[in-house]
Amino acid sequence: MERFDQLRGEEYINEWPRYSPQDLRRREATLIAAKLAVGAAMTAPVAGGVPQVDAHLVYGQEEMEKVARKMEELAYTNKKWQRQFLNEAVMIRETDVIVFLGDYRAHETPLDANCGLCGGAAGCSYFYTRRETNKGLVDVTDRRSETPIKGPLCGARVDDLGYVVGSAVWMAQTLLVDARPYMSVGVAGQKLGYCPNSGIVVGIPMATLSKSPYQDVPIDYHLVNMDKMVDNTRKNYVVIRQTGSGIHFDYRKQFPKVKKEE
Amino acid sequence: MARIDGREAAQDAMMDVARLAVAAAYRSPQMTGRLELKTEIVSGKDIAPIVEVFEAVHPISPVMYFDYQTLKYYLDRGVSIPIILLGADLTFAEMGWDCGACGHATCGKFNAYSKKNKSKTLLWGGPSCNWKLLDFGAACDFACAALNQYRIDARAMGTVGGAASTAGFLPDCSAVIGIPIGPPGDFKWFSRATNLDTADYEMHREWTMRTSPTNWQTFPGSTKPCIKTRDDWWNNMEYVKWEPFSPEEQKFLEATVEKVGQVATKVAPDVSAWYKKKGKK
Repeated sequence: MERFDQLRGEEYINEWPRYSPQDLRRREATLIAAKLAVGAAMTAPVAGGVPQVDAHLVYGQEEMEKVARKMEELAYTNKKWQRQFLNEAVMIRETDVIVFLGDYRAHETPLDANCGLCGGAAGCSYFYTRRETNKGLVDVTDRRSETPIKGPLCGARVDDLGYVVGSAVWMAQTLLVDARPYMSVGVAGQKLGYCPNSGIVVGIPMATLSKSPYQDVPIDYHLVNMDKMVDNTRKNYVVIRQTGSGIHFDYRKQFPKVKKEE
Repeated sequence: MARIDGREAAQDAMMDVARLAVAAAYRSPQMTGRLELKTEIVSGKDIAPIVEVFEAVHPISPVMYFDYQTLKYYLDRGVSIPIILLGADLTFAEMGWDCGACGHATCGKFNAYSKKNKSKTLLWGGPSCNWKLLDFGAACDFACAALNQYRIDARAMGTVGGAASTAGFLPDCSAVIGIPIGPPGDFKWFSRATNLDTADYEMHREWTMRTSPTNWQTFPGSTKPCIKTRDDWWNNMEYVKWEPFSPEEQKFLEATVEKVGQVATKVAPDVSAWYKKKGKK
């Protein structure tokens, strides 16, 4: 029975302040959920049951900041991306864990079933004539690309990755953990080297906060968000102490006169 | 007060679960926010056009053959197999993300190419925007996950979707997936007991050998290794060779595709009549 005597303790949990010990304990639950989501992703139904999924779990304050900054950098490379990427970078700063899921066959070892998804009736020739190949083997060693993603990709594999993403999100939602898949997070993650073998990557940020970071997004979210509000409060508060009240009396022995009610 | 036969109740539940699975598909997380998911539940006699196309196309490959045989087995015995069809037109990218995954530098170039080259194979069609394709996959996965949550054996099948699409179901969709549901029970669409009589041991062995010859390959030093096709493989050795289809094989392929076209033309009016009727309401 002695070993059961060790199974005792207490863990205080609170989402505030961020990254405090009590918040880190909360985040641990998200990490466990993220691992279960990856497990679900790995068992997702894919064409032929062929192994093809790369997964990468990323968590921690510095790591989230790195991804968010990459998204902000990418935001200014495409006008159509800008607002969306900036909004979603804010979400990443509120995120506990990012599950990156990629398909390591989409660019290199296609399904080869002439399914038509990538190019219609042209079948697999659409893919193979636009890739560097040698007798049907795809050479992916030249990773330079003028586009964010080096295409074309095998449509069947990309479709499969959709199932994989779906299963991960399904598991997260089953556990009542907030999660959504994002192109912006995926592209940023791929640029940062997550899911290193994959031709396309989707990012699924997850969080266990009182308010989901992934919905009900106000205008100009990159300017109007929790971090900015808190920082502006900090910026003003210290000045308020001096101009508003505190500078005008010696707190040790004085207190401003309170008007007596008549 | 009522008494309901449990097996009948379970069979009836297939349709209820199909409805819930479709609802789940619409709730799937969408990255583009632009996917127009089309779904349909086909059951009873309305499955006939799908089976008819399947019947025409199934000799083309064992995969088609297996799925056709399973579906036919149940239908021949009067077992209703509702089929969920999920489809979407993935051939247009309106997001302007210019990600390059499709092989074009911009969405505009993809759309211009797609407009001129939009076409179908026996299975699906394209070209596809990759992010819409991901959204479509997630929707199909949510339908499967919902079915799984209710412990219904379900398998998302390109073959069923392809046959349905060829028969004229979900006409505006470039990709269609079919998920046959039921009958209640374990191992209905995986490890299918119903298919035992569709192929004997020799056929299974030949298919396996054809698809994985290296498993039976001899010492490759000669660069022309033989394949151990028999117990006494060293007598009259046999080899894997690569060559184009023989004229007979090519003729068979073309005849099959032609037959599929004829069947599709035959069943299409009935299938499309439903959409016309629905449109009028």
